[in-house]
Amino acid sequence: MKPNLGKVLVPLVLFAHISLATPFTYRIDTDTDTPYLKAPVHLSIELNQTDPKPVLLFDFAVRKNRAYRLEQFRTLTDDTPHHTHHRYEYLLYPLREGNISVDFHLLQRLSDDDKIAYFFSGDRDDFKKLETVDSEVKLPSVTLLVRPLPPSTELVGDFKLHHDLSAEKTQAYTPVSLHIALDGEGYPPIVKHPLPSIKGVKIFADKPRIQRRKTAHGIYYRVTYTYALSAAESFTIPQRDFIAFDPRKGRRYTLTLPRTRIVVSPVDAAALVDKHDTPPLLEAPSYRDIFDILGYLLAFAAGWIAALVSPSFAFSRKKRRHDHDPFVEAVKRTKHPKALLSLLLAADNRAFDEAIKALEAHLYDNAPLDFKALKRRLQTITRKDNDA
Amino acid sequence: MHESIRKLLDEIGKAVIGQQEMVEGLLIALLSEGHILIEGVPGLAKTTTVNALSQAMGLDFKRIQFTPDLLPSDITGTQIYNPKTQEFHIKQGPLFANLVLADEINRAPAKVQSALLEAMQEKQITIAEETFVLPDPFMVMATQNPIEQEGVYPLPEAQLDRFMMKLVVHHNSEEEELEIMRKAAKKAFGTVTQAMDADTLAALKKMLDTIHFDSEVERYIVRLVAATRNPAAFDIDLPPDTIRYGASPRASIDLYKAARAKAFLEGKTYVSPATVGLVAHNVLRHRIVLGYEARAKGTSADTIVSTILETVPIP
Repeated sequence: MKPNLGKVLVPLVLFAHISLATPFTYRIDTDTDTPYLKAPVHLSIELNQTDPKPVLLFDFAVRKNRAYRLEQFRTLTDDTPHHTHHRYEYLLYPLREGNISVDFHLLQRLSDDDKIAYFFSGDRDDFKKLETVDSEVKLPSVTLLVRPLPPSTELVGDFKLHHDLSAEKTQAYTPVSLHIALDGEGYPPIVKHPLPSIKGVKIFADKPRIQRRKTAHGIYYRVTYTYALSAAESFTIPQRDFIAFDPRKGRRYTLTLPRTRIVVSPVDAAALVDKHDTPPLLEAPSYRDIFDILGYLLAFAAGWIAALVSPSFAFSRKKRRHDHDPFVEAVKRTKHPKALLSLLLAADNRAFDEAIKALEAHLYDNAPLDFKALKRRLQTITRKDNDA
Repeated sequence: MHESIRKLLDEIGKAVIGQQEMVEGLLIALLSEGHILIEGVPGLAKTTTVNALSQAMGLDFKRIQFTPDLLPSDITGTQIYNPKTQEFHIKQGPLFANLVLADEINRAPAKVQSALLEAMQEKQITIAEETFVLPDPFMVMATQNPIEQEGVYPLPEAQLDRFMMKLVVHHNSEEEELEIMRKAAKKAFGTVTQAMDADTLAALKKMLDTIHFDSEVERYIVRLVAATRNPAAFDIDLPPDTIRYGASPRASIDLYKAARAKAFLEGKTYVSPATVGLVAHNVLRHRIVLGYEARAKGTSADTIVSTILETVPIP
């Protein structure tokens, strides 16, 4: 296919200043205004700042429409302050015959150097918004008159057909693989039924694999359909014709998948059964299994009874602990004020502050102390503490 | 008790009910130029207490909530570009205050913890080749979440060691909580007025030097700290590898300072072994690193300190 996007032919050109107050010019080009259905139209939009005074930013998009499919082809955005220049290129595939209209969204955003500097002075924790004065600019719509395709056309573009069959002879139920690939430039070559159903053949189909890459002139597609064909007897893959139309050359052509005979030889079905790794048959439950289940039930019952008994057991332990508090016992055992002071310091309890002061005064200031009364008071404090 | 200390406590008492141990801990740290680590559930008047202390002393107070995305410059300060003057100027962070409450310190990554702890130690901060001395007095009160929680970065032992005391804050008593509830409902908490200033605090710090410290009590401190490193030498019967690391010499210094400040707050002219024992848990509990087996058995550093206090002979 000859490239024609670079051709000088520009049937539709819109070039204008929007108004005297607008600081930029625009230019909208299409390579044709009468495309065929699904034939790519090259659409380019150029926005160029002409008044260098303000800082100008653009927010541009082609509005979505079910009447066409849009592919962004190339974008050039130069936001150099005071000299903004944007160029957008799209491939537009019309999906409806007759007149269709392509509309645009353009937001002009005006700012100045001080606001840009303020915006840049922000950081992660102190984000500063760029202040702009936004206004919607109305761009004229592009109108296309879409021509119909020749009847029964399945593919639109310049495509080639490739096919690959893994074997023409096989054994019963041993599948052969078939790859059918359509590649070239044009509307994505996705066909509903590339391989018709064949009587007596089980067809396993994979999802079509779609590859695309941009070329200098358009988008190249390669769509691969993968099948595995399995049958008990010989069969024939029928001929399949794909009717295609190349809109650039205005040529209708046919791609043919040839008729192919696959010879299937029979195999002994008994030989297909796996005799080595067949799992053993399920056996009837043994007495051992029954004893295991009884054991589990017994363990469960023991746990349940223990849970029922435990509250009274815990109560009796609590009561014992109350009567025989180790700290109270330790206080009772102390025979010297220093030993009692060590014990109280170790307890780290503010309830003993007064007792510590009394012991401190006795030990280091020779204050009088009723040691036995102090020990009794400590036992009372400890019991009250435990109750709380 | 010194008159100015009594007035200060009266003013703090207008806003904080109970929590005497926390208030006392704050005053000890303030007098001894230390920092405090606090562990306790939310809602125990930690922020209120520091705020009341700052108002009663006429000091600056800042609170920093530590989060996983915090950066060192968020707390120390950074350079900001002024597009009008086309110059950079330094914006000081919240660490530039007298009292700093670092909330949930172990929520932030190690580099932020490190920046805070370095400022605590050096009492100065360097921003873009310029060094700023932090205000005097400067005290950090840090709270931390239990390490069992998700999304926490535990503080390394070396950094924990820089905190003079670790206070465990408990719930108020029933009577105290009743009073808090009634006052909160009637909005009857008093307004805290200034009762002390930085100059008075400086004078009080000087008075600490007059507190007598007997050599036997000094030796008692060293023995208590040494027992955390080598308990067997003091006939303390602990399973092997219970203590992985004992307290550092910084613990001896802090125990000395804390006991002296506590004696001063109680109006004493000397430090007794009992005073040392009363601050020992707070000074030592975060400096003892337990072994895996001890932790698995549920042994705590407080239990170790209690055993040491019970065993090491009091002079």
